[in-house]
Amino acid sequence: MDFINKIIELFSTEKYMSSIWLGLQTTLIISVLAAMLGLILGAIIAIVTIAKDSKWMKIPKLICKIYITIIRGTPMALQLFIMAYVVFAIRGFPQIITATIAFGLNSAAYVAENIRAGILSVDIGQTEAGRALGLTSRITMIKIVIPQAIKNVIPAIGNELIALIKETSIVSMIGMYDLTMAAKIIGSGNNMASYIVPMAVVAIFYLAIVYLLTFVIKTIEKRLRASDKR
Amino acid sequence: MISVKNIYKNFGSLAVLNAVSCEINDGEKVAIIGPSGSGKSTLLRCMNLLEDPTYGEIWLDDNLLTAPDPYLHPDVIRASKTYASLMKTMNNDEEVIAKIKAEDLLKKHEGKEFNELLKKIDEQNRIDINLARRQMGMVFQHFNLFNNMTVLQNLMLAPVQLKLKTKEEAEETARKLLRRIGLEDKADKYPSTLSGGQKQRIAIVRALAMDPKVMLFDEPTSALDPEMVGEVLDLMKSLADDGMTMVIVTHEMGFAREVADRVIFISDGVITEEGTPAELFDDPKNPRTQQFLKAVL
Amino acid sequence: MKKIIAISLALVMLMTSVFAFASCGSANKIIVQTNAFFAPFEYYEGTEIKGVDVEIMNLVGEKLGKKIEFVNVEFSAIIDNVKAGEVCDAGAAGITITDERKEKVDFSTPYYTSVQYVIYDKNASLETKTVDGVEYIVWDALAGKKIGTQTDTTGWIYTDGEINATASNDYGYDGVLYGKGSTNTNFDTAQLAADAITANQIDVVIIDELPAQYIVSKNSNFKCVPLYYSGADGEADAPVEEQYAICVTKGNKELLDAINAVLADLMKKDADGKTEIEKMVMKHMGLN
Repeated sequence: MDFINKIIELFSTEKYMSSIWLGLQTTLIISVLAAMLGLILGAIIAIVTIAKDSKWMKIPKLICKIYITIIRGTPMALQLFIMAYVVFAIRGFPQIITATIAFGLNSAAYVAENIRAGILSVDIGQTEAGRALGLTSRITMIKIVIPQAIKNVIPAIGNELIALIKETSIVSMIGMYDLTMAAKIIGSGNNMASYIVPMAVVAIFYLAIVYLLTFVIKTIEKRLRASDKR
Repeated sequence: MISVKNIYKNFGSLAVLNAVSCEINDGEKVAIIGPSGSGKSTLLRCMNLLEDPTYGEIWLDDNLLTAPDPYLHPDVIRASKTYASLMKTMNNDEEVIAKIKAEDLLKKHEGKEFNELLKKIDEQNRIDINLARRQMGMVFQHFNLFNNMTVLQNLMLAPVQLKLKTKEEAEETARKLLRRIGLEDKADKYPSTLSGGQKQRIAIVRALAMDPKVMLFDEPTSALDPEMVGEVLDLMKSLADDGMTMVIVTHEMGFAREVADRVIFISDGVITEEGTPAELFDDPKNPRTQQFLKAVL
Repeated sequence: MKKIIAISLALVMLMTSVFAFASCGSANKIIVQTNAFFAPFEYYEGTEIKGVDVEIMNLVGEKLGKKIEFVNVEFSAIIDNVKAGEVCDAGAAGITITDERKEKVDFSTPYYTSVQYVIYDKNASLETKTVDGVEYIVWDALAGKKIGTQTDTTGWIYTDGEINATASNDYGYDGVLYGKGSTNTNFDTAQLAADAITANQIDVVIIDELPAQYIVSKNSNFKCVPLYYSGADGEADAPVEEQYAICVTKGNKELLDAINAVLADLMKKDADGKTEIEKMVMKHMGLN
């Protein structure tokens, strides 16, 4: 019962709700911007990785490979710290940009791998048929392969975005005011002086965001499956 | 029309085609038969460069599709350093050239004159492979219709993208072709709703929509249920009757006998025997051919 | 394809302009790092940081004619950041003066004296002493207990010292708790440490007086008392005391002088015997 009372207290106190509101905004902004950066950069990296081997592509391909290996091989928390305390350790530099870049760069590596896997999973016969008709590899890729790859890629990218949203909760470690920080503040000594209730409430907010995103992705998946109907 | 000149195809250390040469003439229907793994599909796919021959040349009329192969051009061989040094000791043009060919003696760097001659051949004869492929239609064993497009879009894609027809023209041609095979009502359906036989017939007219000079068929009926094989073979027969040049890799011996002007038997990467259907099927000379035919007929 | 390039270019331009914008405004402000989880000195009220340290630094800002910007970071990062002097100019976070810290930064005059307190569950069996009406715990009573502290605070430093010091290592003397089976677990905040008591992960929390009192006032199952060193034979026990000061990057005389001037003013006792600082503390604790 005490637990329920505390929850009601949280929702009815203006300063607590203003904390949650700011935290929610920050979490959403970072998630959305980082997702956009991740998708765009991930697509570019995927294109470079898949492109035909030629002397022009040697160095870009190598850079991409090293980049993906490092990002996938180190914890996100460390990447965030390095961004905040080394790369962007500049007086007055807005932390939102640091966070967006850190999470965006991280996401891009996973998105790139998902896209690459999605493209490779399209049957090679599709490419062969396109080329056999005299279409260039560019047109074949754009009109035939990628539309089919997207169907395979969407679920994987959806998962990555969900992971991204939850991962942003570590920005409170560098002092950013996101949902998790809001929970810490509400739970701190001069406020509710216990983390349990604020953490539970904030968890529900994260759940709501993820649920919304899952719903959107499932809708997109359904629409794309229209052409698979038997 | 298609000239296959002395091609070799190696996949790593595996030699799939070994010194294969053949000619496909205008209006000819050529059937290619042979056991699995013999290289017959590879040969067909080399013709439109879906496979890139390791050595040798592929010509479409007067156009070179592959890079020039010096071994096929005596003047080029004569410009090489290896030739020059061999001539010093052997002093006989024919013998030297024969030796160089037989023992694969040309190296990577054979001198400026050599390279320039090769370049000249390339410049004068080579055409962009995409341009060449527009004139060669291909039909695959597994149909390969574009799953993300309707039947009509499948037929219209290439002519429109390559700016050979306007959208309206392409649609008109597409519908006409669909009518020919009695599938106009499927125009707005997706391939996943069609049967194998329907898919393959549509794949054939998709290639025809490009108005090709020659049609290449890679085991077109091997993946079909027996009831549907007939409708596809009928369409191919009708194409043949219209005068289309066709190269068909197939296991359907009856069809080959009925439609082909010439049959090529490949085994172990070489053309073992070649002749008219009557010659090859009724009177095979090579023991390997006899062995194969005994097993399949 | 073109759309993708356009969007990426737009993003790059957006970020560059924000970057440029941010760094040009920074000449005229003083950046103070703090850890806003230490009421009444600094704490979040909704989305704003308020507290005694905030008021002090705002007065300093007025004096120097510059804007003051408070940035919330992990407590353990503050001293090193102030020492480097690149991302901030000062640290005001109820920081205790220690010799080690003095080597890294310059401290202002001390403006508050605090005692370390012990938070524990009311029902736990913990031995306390009462002398002259003051109930307290001595270090020895913490033998065998699981202790929680906030990273890099003096509570953490002292506890670590008492558990790990021996005559043979750097410390040169035996800590009171050496070899007695006590452990020190560090947490990001005192609040988290206190929650750990409820979660049966630790037994007590050692933290400064004021945060301890806050926590206890909101959690009726907790109790807190001051922490004392046992007196040597014949001597009275002594509280674990320390002094707070504001730190600036070494050599920043202008800022340090301004801070000291403001503090000198605030520490004058007025008519009712209280300093302005004491009044501020009471105000921010909601007790005036």
